[in-house]
Amino acid sequence: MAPESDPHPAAARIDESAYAPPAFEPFRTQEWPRAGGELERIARARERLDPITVDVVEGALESAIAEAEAGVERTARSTLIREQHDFRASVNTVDCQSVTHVSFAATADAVRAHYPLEEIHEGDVFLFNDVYDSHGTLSQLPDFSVAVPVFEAGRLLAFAQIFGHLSDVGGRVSGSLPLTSVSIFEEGLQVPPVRLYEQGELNTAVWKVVLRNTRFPDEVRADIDAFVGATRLIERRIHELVERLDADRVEAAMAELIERCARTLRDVVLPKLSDGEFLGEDFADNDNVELDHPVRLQVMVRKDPDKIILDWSGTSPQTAGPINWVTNGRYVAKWLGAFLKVFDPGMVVNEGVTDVLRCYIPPGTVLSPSYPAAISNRMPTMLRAVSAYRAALVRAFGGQSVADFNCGQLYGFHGVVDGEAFLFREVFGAGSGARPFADGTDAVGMVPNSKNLPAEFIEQRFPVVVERVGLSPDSAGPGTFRGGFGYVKDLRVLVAGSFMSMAERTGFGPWGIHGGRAGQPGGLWINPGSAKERHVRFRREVTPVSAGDLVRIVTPGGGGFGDPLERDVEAVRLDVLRRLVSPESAAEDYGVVLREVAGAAPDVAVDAAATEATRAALRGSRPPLALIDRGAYAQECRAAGRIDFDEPLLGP
Amino acid sequence: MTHARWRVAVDTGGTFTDVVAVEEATGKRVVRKLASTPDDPSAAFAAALDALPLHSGDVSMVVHGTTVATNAILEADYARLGLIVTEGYREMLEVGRQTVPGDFGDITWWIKPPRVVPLELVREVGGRLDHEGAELRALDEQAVRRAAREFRALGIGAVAVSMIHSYRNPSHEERARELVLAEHPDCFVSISADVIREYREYERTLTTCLNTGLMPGLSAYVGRLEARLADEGVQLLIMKSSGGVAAARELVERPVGAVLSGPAAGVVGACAAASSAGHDDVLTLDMGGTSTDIALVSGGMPQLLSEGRIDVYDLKVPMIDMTAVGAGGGSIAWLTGGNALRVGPRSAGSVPGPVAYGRGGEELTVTDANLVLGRIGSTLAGGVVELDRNLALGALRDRVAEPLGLSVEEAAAGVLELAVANITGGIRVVSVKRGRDPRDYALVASGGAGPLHACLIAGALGLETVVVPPSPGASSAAGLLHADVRVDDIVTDVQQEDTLDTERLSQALAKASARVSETLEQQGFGLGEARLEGFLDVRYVGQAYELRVPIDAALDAITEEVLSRALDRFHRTHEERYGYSYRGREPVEIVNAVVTGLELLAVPEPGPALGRASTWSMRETTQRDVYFAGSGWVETAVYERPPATAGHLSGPAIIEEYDATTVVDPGWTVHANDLGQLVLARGATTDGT
Repeated sequence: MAPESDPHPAAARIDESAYAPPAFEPFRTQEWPRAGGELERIARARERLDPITVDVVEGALESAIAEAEAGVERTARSTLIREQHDFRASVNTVDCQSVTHVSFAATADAVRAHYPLEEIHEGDVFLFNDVYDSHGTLSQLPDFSVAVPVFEAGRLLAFAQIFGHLSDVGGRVSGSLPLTSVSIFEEGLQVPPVRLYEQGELNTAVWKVVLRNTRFPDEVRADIDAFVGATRLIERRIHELVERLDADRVEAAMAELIERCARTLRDVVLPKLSDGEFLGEDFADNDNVELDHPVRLQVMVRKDPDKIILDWSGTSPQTAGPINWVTNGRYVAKWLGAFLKVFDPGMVVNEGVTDVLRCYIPPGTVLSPSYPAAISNRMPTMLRAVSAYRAALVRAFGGQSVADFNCGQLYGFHGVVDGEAFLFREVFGAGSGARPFADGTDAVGMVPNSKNLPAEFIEQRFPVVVERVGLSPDSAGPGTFRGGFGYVKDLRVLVAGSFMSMAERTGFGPWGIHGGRAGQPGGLWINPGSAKERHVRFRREVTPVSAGDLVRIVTPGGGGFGDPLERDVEAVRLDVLRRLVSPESAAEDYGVVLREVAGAAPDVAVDAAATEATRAALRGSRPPLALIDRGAYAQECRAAGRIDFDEPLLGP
Repeated sequence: MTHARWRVAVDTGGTFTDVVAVEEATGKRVVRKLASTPDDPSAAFAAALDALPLHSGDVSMVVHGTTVATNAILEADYARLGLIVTEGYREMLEVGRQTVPGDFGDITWWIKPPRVVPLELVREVGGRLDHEGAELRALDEQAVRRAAREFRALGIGAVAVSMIHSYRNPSHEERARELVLAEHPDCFVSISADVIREYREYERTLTTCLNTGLMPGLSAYVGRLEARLADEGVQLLIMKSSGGVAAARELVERPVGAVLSGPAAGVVGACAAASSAGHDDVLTLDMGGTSTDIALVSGGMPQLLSEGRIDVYDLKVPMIDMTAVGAGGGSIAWLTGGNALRVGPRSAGSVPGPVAYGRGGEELTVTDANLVLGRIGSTLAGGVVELDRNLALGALRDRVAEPLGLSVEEAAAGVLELAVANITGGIRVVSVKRGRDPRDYALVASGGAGPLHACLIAGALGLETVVVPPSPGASSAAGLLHADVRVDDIVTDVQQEDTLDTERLSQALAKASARVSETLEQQGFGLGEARLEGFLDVRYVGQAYELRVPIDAALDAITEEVLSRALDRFHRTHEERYGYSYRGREPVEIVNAVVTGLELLAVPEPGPALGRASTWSMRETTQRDVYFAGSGWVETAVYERPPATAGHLSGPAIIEEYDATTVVDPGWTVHANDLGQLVLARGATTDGT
């Protein structure tokens, strides 16, 4: 029986050739040649592969990287690595394709770019942090990668790789993340792929150079040793697998795993999304140099039956300040592809996603800067790229999506005590975005397995007293489901020093959706509520503090989902009873009127009549609800002509 | 007293309550199995005792393994409680460690589990200590009293107290407890310094809250058990997660110590079984319907961890180093949208159960795959459960074989292979992940499904020996009889190697020792010989996690030499586990002094096995076709498990008993030793191949 009509006429397919260089960066920057008759043998082995073997290989590789990451976490010194999980392990094919699940893992591309196959030997351990040479996978100098080529009987069959965020790699400021650099040369040591071990022998010259260029050589050496130990552990696991299955079958299974990811996305995930074009846009507060100039991230998501194209035209040109993110389409596709897993729980998103999610970036943008543009603070750009992409999904799903959040910001305090330098840094989570089925999560980090620092740890190590760790009241974007609440953390500093604020969303709040409103932005306050109060709004490299000062860090609340006047009245009452929402906000934002109840313990009750009247009055007097609400600062910037954005209303 | 004395162990599981009684003088054993009574587990406890052919006065001691604490946590069925914290930390439980489990992107859909104490029941009180325990601000006693009065008025009968740096100086918490009890005398109160004396405020507070929430329920439960035993006048001991037993009264104060009571007994039992068979290095595998508990045992002693995860909570209490994998007989096999085959972690449980039960289960399970392959017979548990092979076959064909283009045999074998892969992954977690080669260990297989998969698991890992204890389903109860009384204590006092004061370290150990001895004395056993063992938690300066190493000398005689031997052990362990060490290059720091008090209970000698002597008589066998990956369908002999010594058999063979089936793969041999254990060995077959 012939179909009544072709559901996907050829004309509906997007012409990908429109994205060719030089208008766009090449999507795949490098494809590696493969020597000998191995490819044919692997192809034959692949024909005979059964699905169970593929699953067994997948399980073995995934558990190898989990095991390696656990080892790094338990032995590393940098708090960013061991507590905050700012590191990743992966297994790559000989061609540097990610076989294991990606998140934000790096690849060994830089090694292949520098060394022909015949110069890579068993026992070599490569070390590098070269941002402009790492094919978009390492994007700041403190991220050092260790890559080990895995051999079997003289044949290279994979790379094991771990990268992580070291404490300091030199440059102008402690921690090597200057905020006002205008060139990468201000930011620290650049190491192209070099051999830390050459066929098993330690290359002490490399150690000497790396350790001479850091303020914390003991921590850096220990962390790199932890990476090397764990990377070799992955190597051992691959050897065990080869012993059981032979090298051809293992490589065949790796190729099949990549193909399986692509097939799953095409067959299972794409049909769940509607074809069409969806605009996503967002703004980073600024580039740290020109504070009045928000930086635009724009993506057009174009979908047809067998691919999704992300076209980043319209994104701001590269900036003078260091928020440039040196990346490429292939890495961005792998990174954003993680958000597609929700459509097929259990699937592993690896290199295969790049066959389906095609990501095109024009040259010279904040996503494709030219050497030697400053890059040390690329986090705001990474997070806003995610926000822009997710804003497009809000449109694709008619608002039935997840509101915005900024669940990663770094604050630091450094100085000298008894002649010894200290550097206290912490990555803070924030409130996550509301969902169509639940409130956002309070004070939560975006990086999987990231943990905040216990006060009892901080006070042992650093000259501060943690006076308060909690939630920032009224920070959550109101909605039928509200956003999560951001953090408030009060630190009493015991010595004079410098505070560093590397926070995004201190101007713009995380957007709300489908009638829900934006969350409150975060910020830094010195001595809040006193005559000496200072408010630090945007990122700032140096904020001097004196002994005894109270420093308050506030992180943004997540955006809300749905009309706040539809929020369950009891949920509003509980938020007020819990002192997370003020009675004023309950009345003004949610139209819920409460009164205190006298009793043994504090209690509040809903005034049902007054609530009904208030909600009716608010409904009658407010402007129409927006599909995406970007908050007060966005309106202010638009009124001043500094930005523009599309503002669709919520349909009836 | 010349009266016959029996030691009794009662293990209450989700489905069955097992009781084992051993006569101390002769080692004679009686085993009974009863249905559990989940609504009130003490009813099955009482029934189990009643089922024994013993009289009042025959029993010397009752040891109990229980899931009451675990279930209360899993089902959030604990008391409503209040929490008192340091000013500024009201939202500590809300914030937690800011962690989203899982992977990048999961933040968009993950929902935080409910808090143990809702925010409206948290009270802040003024008063602050610094990290060395010095008082920065005095405790606000009025605020504590006010909070206690509010809790009383709200009808809250349990209060947790957790203050910053109390692990260094518990005085504020201790004073707060006095004040709470003064205002609210009937209240259960637990302070964090009593539960864990270690830094990291969130984990300590969370553990203290769960402990407090469990107190009222555990107190009532233990009360009921003691009432049942009142006539006997015997002491009730309860298994803790650490694999040691303690007086039931201790558990009333620290119920969180018993969250792995049952599984810990399983490991201790497997250890004891293996030791008696001459294997001190074993991997224990307890595979039930929904999950498999795995532990690695070196030198006859299970390893201890200072923390572990129960449900969604990371608890800082000592527990046997074991890992649970969501793979059991009831684990469900499913395909992802991209046709990747997965097994577990969801389970069909006993209701509706596997498809073959015919109770409405539609999802294919590991049990169904075993049935299709002939590895289990058509009935389970002595005929209580009838299995329908056709139902299993249909589900296998529709759900796995056809979508993947495989034969039903290949599909069923694939399901088993993945279940086995999950389990071997768990074995890796406790072995290779710790730098141990699993091939150096014998596998002790227990639980209803353990002996069924033991050869497959051993084959995948290259293990040579499998031990199947008698009554594999009741191995936890047997384990209870092998535990010692155990008390642990920790003193945190961070000292760096280069400025280390041995005197100060000795004091820390003395402090912990005194507390341990006091607890042992309070419990007043006098049942056996008391022994104190010391450990140090050590790390390189700058690391955040420690390794625990033993002190090999008397705790009141810590010399430089003793210390340097302990640190030497630290470097070696670090090298073994993480692939490198900094011996001689970087200073270490000692973080905790740890003391374990053991009161060794004399274990009854294993007696002569009961019942008739038997051999692998062909008269007792039947035959059926069984599918083995690699061999295909093979006509296989099925034996009833003989209770005593017998000769060798070569695989393939199936050995059935009341609560388990042992599959002997081709290429394996089996013999029953004189303890009634089945010992399976790879390789050497009787025909010499």
